[in-house]
Amino acid sequence: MQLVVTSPEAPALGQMIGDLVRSNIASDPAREHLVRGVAGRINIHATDAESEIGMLFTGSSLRIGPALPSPDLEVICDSATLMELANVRLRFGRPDPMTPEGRAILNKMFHKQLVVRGMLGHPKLLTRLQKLFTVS
Amino acid sequence: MPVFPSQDWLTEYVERINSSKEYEEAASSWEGDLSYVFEREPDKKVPDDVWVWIDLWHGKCRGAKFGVAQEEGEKARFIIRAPYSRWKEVIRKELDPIKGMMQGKLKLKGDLPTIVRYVKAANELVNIAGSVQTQFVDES
Repeated sequence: MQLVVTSPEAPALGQMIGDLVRSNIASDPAREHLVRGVAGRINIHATDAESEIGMLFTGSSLRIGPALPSPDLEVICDSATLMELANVRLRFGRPDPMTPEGRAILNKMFHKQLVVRGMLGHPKLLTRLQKLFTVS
Repeated sequence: MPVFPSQDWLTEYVERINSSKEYEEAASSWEGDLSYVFEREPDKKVPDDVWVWIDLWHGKCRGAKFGVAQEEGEKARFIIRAPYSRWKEVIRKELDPIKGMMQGKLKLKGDLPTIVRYVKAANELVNIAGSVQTQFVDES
């Protein structure tokens, strides 16, 4: 069974995020465990690209496709911020405020240019998403 | 004014890459070649796909070829392709290339994490393309 599956119905953003996560796992196989043992639904909405995708953690795999109903987490930002999120160095699973990139992300959250709904209720899911997503 | 796409346009583009401090800084550790594919749109005077190859190395462009054969262009580490009119939008800064990729309007072949790491350099390449005084082939 494939660990990360992108459905044919996924929009281009989903194909891109699927490729990114697969590449990150291929270059750092220790990240495989981040996909396993967790169940949850995440939607990512790139507002300026008018594209929204869903990421379903089933417990044994990650399925990426169209947006999901009733997501546990929702990430809403523009495409440039999504790239910044993928580039940010993490500290304890969160953007590192000691780096300019980390501070930029936190500043965007403060100004609601980056909205993460459900982060207080699902911190572990958010940590896994960040660790799978980042290329740093 | 160079016509896009053409050898003259590419020559001007490469000169501007090599004189850009912003690009040099953003791509100081970049190593790898890139092919752009301007896909055919016969009704817009682009009867065939046009492959352009550029060799980017540590913030400079050390080689470029216009109209390379597909087999040669496909050997590049990265390939970015889109119909001619999409490229026109990119050069005119009407379409952000990252947004375009997320929308499926531009297609990337190659290691995505590397592009993500060098997204600032990629944006600079687009800014430089936009700075070239351009006559578009379908408007000439």
